Amino acid sequence: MIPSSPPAGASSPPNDRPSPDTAVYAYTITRWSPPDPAAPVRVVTHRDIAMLVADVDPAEFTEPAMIGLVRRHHTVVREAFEHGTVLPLRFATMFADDDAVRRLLRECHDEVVATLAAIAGHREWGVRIPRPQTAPAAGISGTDYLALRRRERDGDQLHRRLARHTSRSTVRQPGPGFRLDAVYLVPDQDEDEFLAEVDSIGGEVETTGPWPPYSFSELRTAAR
Amino acid sequence: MTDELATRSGASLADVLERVLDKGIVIVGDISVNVVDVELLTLRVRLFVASAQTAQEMGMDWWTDDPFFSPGRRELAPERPPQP
Repeated sequence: MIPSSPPAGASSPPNDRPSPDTAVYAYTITRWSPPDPAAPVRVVTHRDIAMLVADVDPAEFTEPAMIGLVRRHHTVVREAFEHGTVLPLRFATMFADDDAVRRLLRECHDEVVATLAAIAGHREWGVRIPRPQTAPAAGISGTDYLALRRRERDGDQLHRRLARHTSRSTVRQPGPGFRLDAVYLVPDQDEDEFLAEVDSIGGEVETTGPWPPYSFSELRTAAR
Repeated sequence: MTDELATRSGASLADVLERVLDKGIVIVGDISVNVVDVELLTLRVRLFVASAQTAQEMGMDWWTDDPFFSPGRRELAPERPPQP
């Protein structure tokens, strides 16, 4: 006679309840040299590169949890960045299993190594320069108007000044509120000069950083 | 210099979200799995942020005291080795 139900505490979960769907969430690619990350983050390696991942239940990606999930993503990337060069992945990138992660690392290996080498020793900085409050068109003198227009145009010039100290940069289409809205990839040894240049602009300048190189992380071989 | 770096952390929630949601490596193809409708998810985040920005304008910038939202506070390599 076969027992109708397994004894409590039997090895695997009983019968017909499906195991919860899990996925392998990928945070960032890095060199294979990270110290053991804090659980639940773990490392999947292929040759000399690695992916920081965690097992997740996709069902947890709900609206109320969103900010916490974004926060977790950024925290993992930032901590990895403290130990070495990182290539962060877009939020909510998931794989079926570790084999799929390794397959990606294998297919992109050469470009990953080259990109990691190119951005090693850099940090990302954001610079925004708000547009001065525009005076009402009526009652503004011709001279003032020309000065206003000149200040609005000089975003390009300010960008060129800053970009001299950087390896790469991206200028966003300035919105209505900004003369300059740009992101810079700054070599460590040029950071002091870059920040001094930012300070020399004077006036109101919003500087954020240092960031992991989020804005400069691309892999062509992963995008096709 | 380290002190100065530590003060350059005026990052807003929008700065963090812009990077985490809009930047970074995109994996295309069948290697990654679309178990989550990411586009819908990020749309919802953006809606949340829009309301959060409104909240900030109203003086309810509740996240500014959160050390998480100060990326510059990170003490990375405070003493950079001298360049050879």
